[in-house]
Amino acid sequence: MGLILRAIDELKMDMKKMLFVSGIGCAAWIPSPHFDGDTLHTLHGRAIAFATGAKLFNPDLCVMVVSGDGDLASIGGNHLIHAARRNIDLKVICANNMIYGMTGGQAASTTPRGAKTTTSEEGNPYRPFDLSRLVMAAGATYVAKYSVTQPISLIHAIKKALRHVGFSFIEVLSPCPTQFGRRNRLDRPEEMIQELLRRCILEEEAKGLTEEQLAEKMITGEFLK
Amino acid sequence: MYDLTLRAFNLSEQYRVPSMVMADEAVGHLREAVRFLAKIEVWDRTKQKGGAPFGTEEGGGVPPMPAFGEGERLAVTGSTHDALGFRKTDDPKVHAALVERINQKISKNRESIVETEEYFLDDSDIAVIAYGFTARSGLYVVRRLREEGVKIGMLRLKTLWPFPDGKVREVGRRVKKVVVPEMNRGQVADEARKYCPCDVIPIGQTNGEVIRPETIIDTLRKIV
Repeated sequence: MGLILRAIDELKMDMKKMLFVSGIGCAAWIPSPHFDGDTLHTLHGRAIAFATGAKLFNPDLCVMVVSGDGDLASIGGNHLIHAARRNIDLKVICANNMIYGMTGGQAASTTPRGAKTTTSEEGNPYRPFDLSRLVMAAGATYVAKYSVTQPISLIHAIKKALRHVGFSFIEVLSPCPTQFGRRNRLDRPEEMIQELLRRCILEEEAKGLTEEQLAEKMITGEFLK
Repeated sequence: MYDLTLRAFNLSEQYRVPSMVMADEAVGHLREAVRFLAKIEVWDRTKQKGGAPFGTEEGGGVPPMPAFGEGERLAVTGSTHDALGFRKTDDPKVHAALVERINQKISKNRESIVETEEYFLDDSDIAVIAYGFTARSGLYVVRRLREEGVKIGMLRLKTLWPFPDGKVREVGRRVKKVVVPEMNRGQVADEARKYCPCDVIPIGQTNGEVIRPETIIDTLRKIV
């Protein structure tokens, strides 16, 4: 939340003229009801559908979508790929905690293989989406992926997305200790943060590493500018 | 479909509810001449700077609502909310007021929303109550039998919800028998039975085909 606000403030945008759309989930509570603009808190998975409608009616409106991975890429996956395909000028910020958190910790399309969730007690048998690659392939024209442990880069990316005309997607790796961490041996919030700090690296940092070291890393950065 | 679609949009904007145009497969496949209006009446909803978009003093009233981007900080949420749109799910008074308001805005305005058409009902002993594609077969039957001197008329339902209970009750009092042909197991016949003091005879047909006039005439010959 703070990073989005800082980005808007640094760009000196008028928040009152912006529309923030969100779905259902903890991330969806970031803009609604707190932001000082128009807010639209919609049905689970349909944030992008509503956002497309609002943008269609008023193309001059700056429309930002803030929601989670369960909402945007699991139940709402279809809307995501088509909005990206059509390159609709939406700024989509996806808080990816790799689970359906608010509803109690069910496996989502982004849950890592082997992870324990309430709907995969023996470990998730399916491979997850690589959201950034998915959205890029679908047709998005600005794609970035950072962790919450990279705040400065995130503010920079959010500002780029706000200025970009076309479908922007920012994947923000966010920890959920309550539903994900607790079931997957990362009980304490600080453990999840430290794990993110350790695993998230930039493309340049990946160059010197061996395949074994790379296996557990998550490469972050601006993938499509 | 053209006229009703226009009306659906206007009703939707006027009452701030979803409006469903329910054509069936047969209507959807029709090819006919359509008379386009030179001037279309478009309903523009009222707006009020700083007004509460989800609350109104008048029972049956529809609150003014801004559009996004007008700087009104419009808060829309699917959860139970107060008059300003702020989510409030733990206050029974707020919840009750919300449910009451959104129901009243339709129930108090029934008469101007409900739409029906009447054919030859002034001096009829039998009435056909029909809607959708079946109303075409129904009207053909009524015209045919009128030529033979049968005192028959038709009430065509154009809105199915809110249900035109007033008109159906009125027709049910005037005639001796009501016949309801429909391509289902009697959904509207059941509704008509609630309001008609006379006999309601359903003609249900669920074989994937439209109801032909002959089918309706067969049933009518048996009961006349």
